[in-house]
Amino acid sequence: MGSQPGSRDTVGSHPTPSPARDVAVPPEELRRRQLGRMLLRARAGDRRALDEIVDRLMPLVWNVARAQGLDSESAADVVQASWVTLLEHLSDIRSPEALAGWLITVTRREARKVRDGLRRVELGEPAAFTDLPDPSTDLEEWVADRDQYYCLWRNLRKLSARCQELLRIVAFVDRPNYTAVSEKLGMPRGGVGPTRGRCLTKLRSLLAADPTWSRT
Amino acid sequence: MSGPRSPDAIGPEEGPDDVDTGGFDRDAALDGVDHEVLDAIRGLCQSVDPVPRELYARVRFALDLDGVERELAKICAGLEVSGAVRGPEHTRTITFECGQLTIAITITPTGTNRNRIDGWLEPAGSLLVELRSARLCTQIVSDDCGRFAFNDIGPGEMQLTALPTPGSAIKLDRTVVTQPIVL
Repeated sequence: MGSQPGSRDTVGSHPTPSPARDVAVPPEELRRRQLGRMLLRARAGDRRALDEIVDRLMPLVWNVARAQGLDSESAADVVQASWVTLLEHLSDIRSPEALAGWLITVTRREARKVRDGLRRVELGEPAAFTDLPDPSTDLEEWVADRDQYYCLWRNLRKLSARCQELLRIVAFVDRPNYTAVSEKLGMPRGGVGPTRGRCLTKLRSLLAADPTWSRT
Repeated sequence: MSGPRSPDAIGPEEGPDDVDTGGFDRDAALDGVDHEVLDAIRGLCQSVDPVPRELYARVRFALDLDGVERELAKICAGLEVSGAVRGPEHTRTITFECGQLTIAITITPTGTNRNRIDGWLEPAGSLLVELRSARLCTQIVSDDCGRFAFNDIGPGEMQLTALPTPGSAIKLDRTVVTQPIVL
């Protein structure tokens, strides 16, 4: 796909890389360029391209909605509305980063609105992993990563609601988008460092202190 | 994050030195363990809280509706008729209405999860009628009395569209779509 003339990502003015350079390009960057091409086609009215974007970014959008503490049904309504809103604004969105960031912003805003409408007095502050099912009971015993997931889940729940939300969303973002998305979520410019300091480093130290966490 | 860039791209400013990096060494601050932890979080969420499979179809369905100039015919009457002798089966009659057209349909279960849909148009006339569901898009022309039928329709969300049809007694100035219903 990347070697077809005319199919390259031409969203911006960056010169087209030579095929020889493509070999050295990491998969995340290839995915990003692919998404850029989908965006171009979708903006030109290609419905199939829009469906491909839905397939690609649905897990991100879903997790953004669920990270706001919405139940599955309300989250599904919010997700559907976000995609319809995207279609209306497709012509304003010009890069893959902007696309992911736009979806995060719109979904998060709408999910919060719905959540605040649904919130009953007895419910505490929702947090992304507090509402997530317990993997030790939700997953079958034969699932290979079950114990690791349980360990991760337990430690994630010790983090602040803000960190839980951030990590849940960032885990679903293509890593080259990481910085951009951290900013979208209100982290300072060049936010990887601070983000890692506050959330990821905290989680890593919790995991390091947990004997059941066996990943290195 | 180098490469294509547009005015609305979000992210840090790129200096000339960044141009050839392909954007990925911007994440040098994330080491292998960071990536493993983030991958594990993704795996955890996907395992215990996956995207519902039907949501993909639902979103596509919603996107298909958008962007076409059309008039929406809303449900103005729905009637559930219990088929008492046939146990749990129900026949439903639903009427959709908009300024140009009324579409009435009767939905009759015909077997395991299958339905027959009989419909009629008011005013009566021959129009191209399309039935759209997540899995299917099929067209039929109503007869001069405005009657049409679709057989063997599976469960799920569906919607009817009546299209302006040359030579018809019914002159639609734009396409009429019904509110989606769930079979």
